[in-house]
Amino acid sequence: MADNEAPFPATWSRLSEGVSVALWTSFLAACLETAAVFACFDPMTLGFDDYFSPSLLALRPMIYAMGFFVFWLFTFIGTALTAFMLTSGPHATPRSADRRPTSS
Amino acid sequence: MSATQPVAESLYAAHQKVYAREVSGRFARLRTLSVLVLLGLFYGLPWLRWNGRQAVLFDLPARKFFIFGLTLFPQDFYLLTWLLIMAALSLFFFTALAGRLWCGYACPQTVWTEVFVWLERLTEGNRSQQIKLDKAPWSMRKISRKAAKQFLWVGFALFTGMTFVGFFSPIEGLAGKIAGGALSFWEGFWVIFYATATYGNAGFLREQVCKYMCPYARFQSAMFDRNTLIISYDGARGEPRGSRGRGVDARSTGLGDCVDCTLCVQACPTGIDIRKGLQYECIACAACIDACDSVMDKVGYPRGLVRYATQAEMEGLPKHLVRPRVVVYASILGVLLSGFVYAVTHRMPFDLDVLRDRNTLYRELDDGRIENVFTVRIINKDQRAHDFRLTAANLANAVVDSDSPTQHVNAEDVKTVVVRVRIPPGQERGGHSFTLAAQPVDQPKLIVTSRARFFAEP
Repeated sequence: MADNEAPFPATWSRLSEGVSVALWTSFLAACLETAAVFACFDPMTLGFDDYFSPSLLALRPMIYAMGFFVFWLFTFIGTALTAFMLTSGPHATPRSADRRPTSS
Repeated sequence: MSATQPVAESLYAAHQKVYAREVSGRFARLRTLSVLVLLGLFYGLPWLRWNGRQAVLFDLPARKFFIFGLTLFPQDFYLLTWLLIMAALSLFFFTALAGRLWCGYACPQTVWTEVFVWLERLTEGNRSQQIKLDKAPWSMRKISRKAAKQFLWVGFALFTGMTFVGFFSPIEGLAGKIAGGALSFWEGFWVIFYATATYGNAGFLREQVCKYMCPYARFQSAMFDRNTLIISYDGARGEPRGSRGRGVDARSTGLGDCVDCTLCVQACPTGIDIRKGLQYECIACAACIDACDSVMDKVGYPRGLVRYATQAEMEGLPKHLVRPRVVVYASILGVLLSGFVYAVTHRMPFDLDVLRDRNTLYRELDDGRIENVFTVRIINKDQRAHDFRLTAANLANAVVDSDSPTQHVNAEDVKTVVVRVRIPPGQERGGHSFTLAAQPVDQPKLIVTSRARFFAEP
């Protein structure tokens, strides 16, 4: 191999692919959920101020952020389970390992 | 072929980096232009001023989005939904027309990766220098090159994170807060979060995001048809491929136009060989077109061995770019866009929200009159302040009482007022629907209303 020849990229393991896909798709869903939910509900009217000190100036940003991560967690549970069920069930096919490299 | 090349069956091998060769040409220039425009918008917009405030600011704590002369409130959320539908339809339209234009030129993943690759070339040199450097044992030179790259990457990622937060928290104050170390917890958190995502996606994951994680890459084929422009290798013209001596007539040796220089493969940021046909990994960046064109120029063959072409064209059929599918997408998009522009420009500048007092249904005053209490939110989306008079309709003899006869609402602001509605004794029994109205004193025609329920003794 000449010095300037690069190796072909290898494929990801099924686990890292499954986790990454689940993380990414649930992230997209969580973004939409956060936007839709907080556009409809002002967190300040949901009674959170009973639980947190009212002196906390940044209550809204905190609830937005926590809400986002909670949505992400729940959607991740859904997408990760979906990925797991689909890749472990009767229809699961062996990964096609033959895409490349096929050239000389 | 060398023994160091991994075999295909090594399923669980660690990812190996794609070293994309630098190319120049028409499409590389187009891509650079697109990177400059899009990143210019991203990094520049938060610094623009408009009427004494940041021109584009998504003020989440105040629940207001400022976009130049437009102020959006949560009630305008449908506009965002509308915008997302238009974005999805544009994706259908452009994909049907010319494949993954989005991926190649406009996707943030591509755009930021371009910058990270550029910073990498700045510190580690071109493709073969990078490969050599990675293979070389650790030395002062290697350490300094790698450290310089990481310094630029991390710095750029942090700047990106700061700019991102600058869309939500006034950026001029943010820069000062960072310098003074006075960043709030959540500001700091989101700067780091976005910087990490930028570094991870554009510096480390790169084409793997497109290959393994992007949903669009998977369903794009549903939007393709035989008349979609895709990046294609003209096999009929190129095959059989093979290297040839200078001045040798390839035709006489039975060779096609492909000189098998593999530059198209080296240029590919996803590490595929376009000569094997369209593959789902292809992000349509057209780097292989530029690479091949430069070789065709050098060997004196016509350009376009790799080019944007439709499948029908490759099969010798005529090109049909304008076809029912494209026309339908374009017309729906046109209708939605006109509607959107109309909705934004003809938006009612005021809005009214009415909430009943949850504690008491109704109250009988000392003189026998019946009173209901409401919390009213007057939303003024206009760029100047207005005074509103609150009235009730569809409820005979109703008197609306609040802390002052008119309510002053500042520009682009929301005012919450407690309102008491009273009717004479014995006039109504049970529940009754009525209308609360807020009428701007200076523009009486722009009255806004909201339905509410009035309760009296059953």
